[in-house]
Amino acid sequence: MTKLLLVEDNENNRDMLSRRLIRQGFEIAFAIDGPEAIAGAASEKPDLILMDVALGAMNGWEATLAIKANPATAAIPVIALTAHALATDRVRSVEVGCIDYDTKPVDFPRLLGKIHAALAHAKEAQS
Amino acid sequence: MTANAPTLPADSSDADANSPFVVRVVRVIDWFIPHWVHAERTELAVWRNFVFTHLAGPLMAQAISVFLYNTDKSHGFACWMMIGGIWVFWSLPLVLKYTQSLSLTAIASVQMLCAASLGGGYFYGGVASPFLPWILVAVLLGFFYLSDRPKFVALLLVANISAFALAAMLFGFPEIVPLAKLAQVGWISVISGAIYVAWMAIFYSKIMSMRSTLQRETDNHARTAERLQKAKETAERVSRAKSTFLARMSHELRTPLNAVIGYSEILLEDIPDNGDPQRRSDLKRINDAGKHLLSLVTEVLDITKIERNDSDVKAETFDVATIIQQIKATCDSLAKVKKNELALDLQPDLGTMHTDAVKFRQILLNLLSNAAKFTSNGRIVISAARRAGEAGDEIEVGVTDSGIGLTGEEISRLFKRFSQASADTEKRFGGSGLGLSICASFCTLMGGAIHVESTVGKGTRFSVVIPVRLPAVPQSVAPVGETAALAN
Repeated sequence: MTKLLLVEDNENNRDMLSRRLIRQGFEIAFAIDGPEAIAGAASEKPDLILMDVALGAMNGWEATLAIKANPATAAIPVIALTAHALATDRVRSVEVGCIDYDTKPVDFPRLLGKIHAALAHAKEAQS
Repeated sequence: MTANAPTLPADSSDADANSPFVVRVVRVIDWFIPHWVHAERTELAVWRNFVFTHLAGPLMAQAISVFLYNTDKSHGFACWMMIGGIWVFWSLPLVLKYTQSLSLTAIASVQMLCAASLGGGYFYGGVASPFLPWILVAVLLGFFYLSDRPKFVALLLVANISAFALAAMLFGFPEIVPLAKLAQVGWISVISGAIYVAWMAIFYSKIMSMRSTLQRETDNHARTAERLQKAKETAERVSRAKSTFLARMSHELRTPLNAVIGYSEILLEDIPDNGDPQRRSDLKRINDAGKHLLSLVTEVLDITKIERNDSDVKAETFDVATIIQQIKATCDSLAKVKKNELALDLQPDLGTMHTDAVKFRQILLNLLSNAAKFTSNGRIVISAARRAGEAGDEIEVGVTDSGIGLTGEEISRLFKRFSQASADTEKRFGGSGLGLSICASFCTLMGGAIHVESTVGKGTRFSVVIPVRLPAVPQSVAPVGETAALAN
């Protein structure tokens, strides 16, 4: 089963998004802040990470940089979830190594499309 | 003569209100005064007074000449010196006209008056002479017309009086005419001296009141400017506080709204296809309302972001090709997300720019990010060229993509705040629709412009033209974050 690591500090959002993803057949692991996300990426070995950018002390971009810096987790695709779609946010997301980005609130069908595309891309890269 | 004297008009519009005689007199007086003096009311009044007193004063003093001629039957050097001296005063308005220097002419006038008064005193009556009161007129004139150099005037007077005293000590007073016989000349001299002094005193008080009115007006202006400055600062402080408040509020509102939207969507998914249609439509309304509210909140947040940060322009010198290459490197992976090729087409002579590098970078990032967003399996080209503009060289940077393109109607809405090319765009691609309006404001701030040409299905080309030197005068931009966007 495909496993996603959902990094999100707000409980409502975490619960809501994870329930919807589980319905789509994903297995979900959680992290509620940057350090947990870095640890979770290593221990859970998810197929993809959904990374909220606004996380408090360590933001999602910094966590992504750390994940990409670790050879064990570098290959895991990360989709950034940013509050705004300002170009600077988009560019920053891709700069730190995210494969894609989407805006919050999540447009669920659109996000699903991006998740599947990223997974397909990662699989392609592996083979 | 004194009847109309103190009301000597200060400018020609006043002159129109006076009798034709005064108008004519003023016209004659003005003939002696250079044109540039007319710009300043008080100054003009002083010049006119000088000319007037040097035309009318000697006329009045002709009475002294006549009586002196009658009194001093010897008609020697002293007599002719006095008569000639009085006549010479009439030349001073002409001296003024041709030197255009009031201070120079005033020095001549004071010196001549000292000579006439002390010289007349020396020959006719000594320290008891009826001509000596005129030394007071010289003092008055000197300190009035040469108020900016009082030491010089004092020195001139002391020198003249010393010469008078020295001559008296060395040679004594010649007493050409006995003092008792000078009574008639004495009356005339003292009375005309008094008239002259009275005229000057009245005129001086008039000038003072003109100057104090001017001072009051200046003070008023200064106070008004100060008040305006304070009001402006308060307004700016309030505006900043408002922006911060809105930013905080809209951020706080987003999180619960996410839950409202997300959970209503979960419930919608839970309803089976043959479920209660009323329930489905109710949930749909909650969901739609939540989304609408969220988009409003997002707009507020984005506006306040711009309001707070982005209206300052800081110029620095940078190499155009280098910065474009850096931007390209940044966007390489962004382009790859949708399998686009990103290419450069730079002319060799781009040179350097002196403008806001951060904004320049941000404009290009915005355009590239847009191109990458709306193009897949295509090609994005960044081109740049230097060319001569109206006010110095300009750099034109183009971002051309082979993406979905834009219709004419979409282009017309493109640079409006919060409006994406179509309502469908947001659904398909995300984004608040702010990027291009920011680009446009930045371009304006830097004295440049942004253009777009596009064909649906073929691609889009954005081109930005920016002067290589930031214009000295700040370019005004329509206030960022017009509330119209919030109202609907």
